Amino acid sequence: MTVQELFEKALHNSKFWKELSKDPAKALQAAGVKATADQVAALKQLNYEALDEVATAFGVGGTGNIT
Amino acid sequence: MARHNESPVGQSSFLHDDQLQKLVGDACARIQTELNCRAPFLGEQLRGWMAQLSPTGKAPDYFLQPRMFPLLRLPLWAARSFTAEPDGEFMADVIYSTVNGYYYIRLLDNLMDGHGTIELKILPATAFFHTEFQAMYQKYFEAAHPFWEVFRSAWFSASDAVTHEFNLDRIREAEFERITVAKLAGARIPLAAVGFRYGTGQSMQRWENFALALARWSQMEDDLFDWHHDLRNGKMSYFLTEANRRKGSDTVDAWVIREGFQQGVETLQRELCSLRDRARPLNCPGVVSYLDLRETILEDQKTRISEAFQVLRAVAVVVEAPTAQTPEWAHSLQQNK
Repeated sequence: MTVQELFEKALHNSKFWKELSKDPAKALQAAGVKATADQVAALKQLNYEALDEVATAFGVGGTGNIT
Repeated sequence: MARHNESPVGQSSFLHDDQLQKLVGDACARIQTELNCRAPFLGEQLRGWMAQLSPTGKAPDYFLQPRMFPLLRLPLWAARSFTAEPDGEFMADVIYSTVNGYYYIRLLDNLMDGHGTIELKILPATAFFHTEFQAMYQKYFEAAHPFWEVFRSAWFSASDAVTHEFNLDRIREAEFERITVAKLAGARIPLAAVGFRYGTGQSMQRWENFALALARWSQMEDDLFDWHHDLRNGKMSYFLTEANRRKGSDTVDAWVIREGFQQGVETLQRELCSLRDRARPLNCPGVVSYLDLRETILEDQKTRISEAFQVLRAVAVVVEAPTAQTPEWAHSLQQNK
């Protein structure tokens, strides 16, 4: 999975992030990624709610014809 | 296509302006009245389109969004700086004209950008919008008045710029300054009308220069926040041209998330300081409040989006190299716990 795909998921797939915050190992496994225990522990500490801003700022075309 | 997201809606109260709100409301109602009388079928179609553009479904609210380029605020701010009590009928006509001019551009722009929904079916509305945009000024300026030279110059140069930019496959700094910014030259028209009616040459020039500098800033902001939409729709911008030049082996998305967004916001913040310098001699509290609000909104977005991108970068480290050692950021998170 690339950064590009993660960005797309931040725009359109809130389910992925909900699952990642709840059970990172399971969510990553479903996405074909095997993470170490340390990585899973670190992923549990992230603030996934911050990602809502990605969809707000960029989701439907950013500024929406401000000019 | 309606594309809106005004997260700090509450902040719009800082820009609340009773007179502007009434003028814009009256202008939208006047469009409907004229259309109902002269072109009722088209009027019905346009009612839906104008509502669809607005985040609230009410046409006037479209023009009052705090992040929108203040096309309608500028002539009112300028008039108030020239005279204590601007002529109500004149200002109503200027705002009505400008709303029509804006809809004319929006209709064509949505079609050219591929954002059109019903735009092709209502394309003949350009006849109405353009006539109303231009005809209002015939009441105030006779055919030989120098206003009309400003009108032709600004309107044709904006049309030229829109067409030119559409045909570019990359936009470097020179093209941005010469072409992209010129797309907003039409903003000079209502300002020139106000200037010729109330102002002196020097003060009018200051307002026009400020409007063009603000247009430049707004276009930079538009490019930054529309980067993903533009990228997916094959629309070139100065920001995307720079992204392609600077990204190295990264994708554009990765570069924006790593540093591009941050750099873009910092550029906007620097340019905002320079706009404040240009605004100072205008002695206009409305402009100062507007710039204050834009600075607050930008800082708020910088903080929120930087935090979001930090999460994306952190997850990317894991998903891109799942068998790698625990990354540095994870150790620091654990230490800070």
